[in-house]
Amino acid sequence: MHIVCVCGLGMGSSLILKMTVEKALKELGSTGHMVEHWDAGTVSSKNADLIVTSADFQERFAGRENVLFINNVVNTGEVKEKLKSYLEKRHL
Amino acid sequence: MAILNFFLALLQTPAIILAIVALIGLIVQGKKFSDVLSGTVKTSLGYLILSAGSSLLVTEILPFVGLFQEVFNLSGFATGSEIIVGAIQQSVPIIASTSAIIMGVGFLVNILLARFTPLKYIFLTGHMMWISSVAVAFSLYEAGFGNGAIIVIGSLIQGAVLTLLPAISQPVVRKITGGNDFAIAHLTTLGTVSSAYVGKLVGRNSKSAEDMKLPEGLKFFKDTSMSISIVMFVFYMMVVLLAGPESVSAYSGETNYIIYGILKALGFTAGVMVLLQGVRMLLGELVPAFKGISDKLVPNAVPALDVPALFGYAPNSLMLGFIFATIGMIVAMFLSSAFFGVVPLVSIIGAFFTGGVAGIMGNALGGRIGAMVAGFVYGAELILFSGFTYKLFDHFAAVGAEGTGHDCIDAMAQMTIMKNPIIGIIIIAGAFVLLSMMELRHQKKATANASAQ
Repeated sequence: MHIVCVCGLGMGSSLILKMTVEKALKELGSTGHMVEHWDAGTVSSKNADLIVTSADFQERFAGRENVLFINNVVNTGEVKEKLKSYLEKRHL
Repeated sequence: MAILNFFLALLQTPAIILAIVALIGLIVQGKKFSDVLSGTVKTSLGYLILSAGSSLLVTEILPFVGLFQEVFNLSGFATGSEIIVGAIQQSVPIIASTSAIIMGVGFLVNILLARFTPLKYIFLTGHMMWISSVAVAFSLYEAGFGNGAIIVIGSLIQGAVLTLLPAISQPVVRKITGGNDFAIAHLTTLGTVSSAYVGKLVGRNSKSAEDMKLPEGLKFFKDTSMSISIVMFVFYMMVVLLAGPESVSAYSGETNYIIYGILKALGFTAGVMVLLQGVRMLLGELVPAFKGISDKLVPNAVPALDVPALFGYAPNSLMLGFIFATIGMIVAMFLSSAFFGVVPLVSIIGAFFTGGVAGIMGNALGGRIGAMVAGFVYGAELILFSGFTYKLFDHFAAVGAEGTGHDCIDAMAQMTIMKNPIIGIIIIAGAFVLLSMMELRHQKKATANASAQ
């Protein structure tokens, strides 16, 4: 799966989030993913299967199913839980 | 001898130094060979993309500077620390190569300080590390130090500053997040925290901004490319219209002057976008490598993160801070032209990201009035300080960055106190000791509270 982590500038929070996502995926034992970080302004040009971003982007990605919102970007537990239920829903 | 010269030349090439820093970081973490190789190459590519973006945006801003001078007889310049440090790196190789080493070694100093002093913060905002490293190298270069001294003293200053900045904001951050899970790593800390305390004085007991309703339409300012385009469009249009077709044709040749203004405004934004893409690629490998090392060496560290980590806690205060910071910046543009004879343009990235943080901090200390006052004061501080440093360092013309200025208050403060390196170092060391003592007192209180319950 191609996962893109997103924040406003695409270099601070999104990069931290990417590290957390990678750690969470590893702990879940889920492999074969490509995780990138990117800025919100140009993310529509990315062909992402899943977007992971912080909770303050709720409105920007409203109505999209393949987006996970994270409250605390360093909380591996939260990211793991949300990724897990997403993967299960998608039967991945 | 030829071989030695080759290696020396290699070590003076920033693209290579940064690649070596990434290489070491990746090897230490025990990554696979393919990951090490791609991480190293991408870091180098990131630096080269960054340089390309810098040269582009400098050529796009220079006509503005010239026309602004003609129209107002004042020096106008774009504010953005990424912009100016990119330009300085591009034109002064010594600063570029020493700053690259300072960024790597400075991080190790940060780890050591976090391991052995009460300040447990690991600074993880890569683009701020980068800006700081160039500002530090610039200060020491300006003070006349040689390469070796720039690297050694610079790394120590870099490490100390990056460890102590999160400690300055942490008392307010704890109030916002209700915990000590993370701290904030940003070079605008002195500005946001000081303005939040002004907000506290004025806004005492006002209601929280989070109970208000705010218009939705402003949200698109979060989109960097749009917000920079709009600001540059407004200012470029202003100068081309006031200067008139004849003056503009000296720069534009055959192109229509209005079209020229539009193209240059968008061209500048394009330059910033390329620069940011380079920074993203450059840091994408370095920051995880740094974090991997610190996780191993400082297990009880508090990660210090980029400012958006706070955005979710108080979205209304963020917008209030942004709006009032922009107003503060516009007012301060006039003040700066009166005081310093130079006109820093509104920094819209600064207003949104860090004016927003000033608002969030102001709200935490002084409610909605606090948020508005903090935003305004922060915006004014930023532009005034930017005008002051632009004048103090003779428009940064000697380092090939005329037409660009800083918008990160901590970097400006560091450069200003380091005008006299001895005084600068004493202030930084003193601040470090003071904050360590405050941190110890807080820890004692926290343990006392915990045992009392």
